[in-house]
Amino acid sequence: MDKLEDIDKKLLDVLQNQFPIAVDPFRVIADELDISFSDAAGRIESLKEKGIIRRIGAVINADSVGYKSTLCACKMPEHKISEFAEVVNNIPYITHNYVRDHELNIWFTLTTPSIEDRGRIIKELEAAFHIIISCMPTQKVYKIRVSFEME
Amino acid sequence: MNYDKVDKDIIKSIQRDVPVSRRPYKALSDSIDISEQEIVKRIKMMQEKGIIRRMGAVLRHQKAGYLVNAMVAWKTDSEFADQAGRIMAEYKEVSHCYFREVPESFPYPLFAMIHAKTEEQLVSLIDNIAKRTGLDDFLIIKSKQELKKTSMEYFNG
Repeated sequence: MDKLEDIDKKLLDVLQNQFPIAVDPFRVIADELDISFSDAAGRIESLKEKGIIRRIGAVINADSVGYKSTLCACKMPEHKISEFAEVVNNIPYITHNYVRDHELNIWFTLTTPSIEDRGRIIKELEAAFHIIISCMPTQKVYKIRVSFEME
Repeated sequence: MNYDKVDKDIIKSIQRDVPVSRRPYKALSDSIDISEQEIVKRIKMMQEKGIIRRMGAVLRHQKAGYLVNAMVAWKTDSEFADQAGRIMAEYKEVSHCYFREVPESFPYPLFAMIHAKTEEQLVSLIDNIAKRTGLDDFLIIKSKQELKKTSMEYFNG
């Protein structure tokens, strides 16, 4: 990673943790950091281009809008992983998919409008890849934090 | 349900990328025919109701310098899970901590996602957590490859 200037680190901090809910949030941020709007906007665009910022927007609580989410894991034969990845890329309800260092080598998150949708997708994947998928839905949340400290 | 059609339209838009412009909600305001002030008011309301967990930048943690990540799954009884979960939640390096329903074949229900800058830091963090919680049976399940990482899009089907 390129070294970030202090002002970029401050921007990342404010953008993550104190994003203003206002009609002109980026101008408010620029004022707070005592830089011009165009300087702030240019820096933010560049942080996006570098891939440090994935997006700027709302993080929605799935439960509160009636969606059901679960972590899933399965044991996938090595040679089928790329095909599985391709199938998963076309399932919008699966947002995270990782190969992990465990006997259960595939771990993904599935967030669906209903439990029935979950069941249907799991069944289809199990049939298509001849695998058994374990669902591990959340029973209790101790922490969800989505911001990173910039040092 | 404690949100309406207009809230849904707003969510559909702001769950993606809010444009970095002087008036980022102007286009949305025009398309759903409510004022930018009303949009902002509703975003605040949805934040208060917990529908919107957070507004702001979502970073790629690897690119933010947190290069070493692990999912750690701990064996614990549900009676001890609360205390351990609360201890884990105190660590700034722990981004997510959940108690999950798990199958019998995988008796490690307490999950923590841990982010560190170096391998040594990660190892000592896990060691420290194990000591403080008293949980000594755990699996460090590292990711070998990211196949997909996107943001969920609600109300799109």
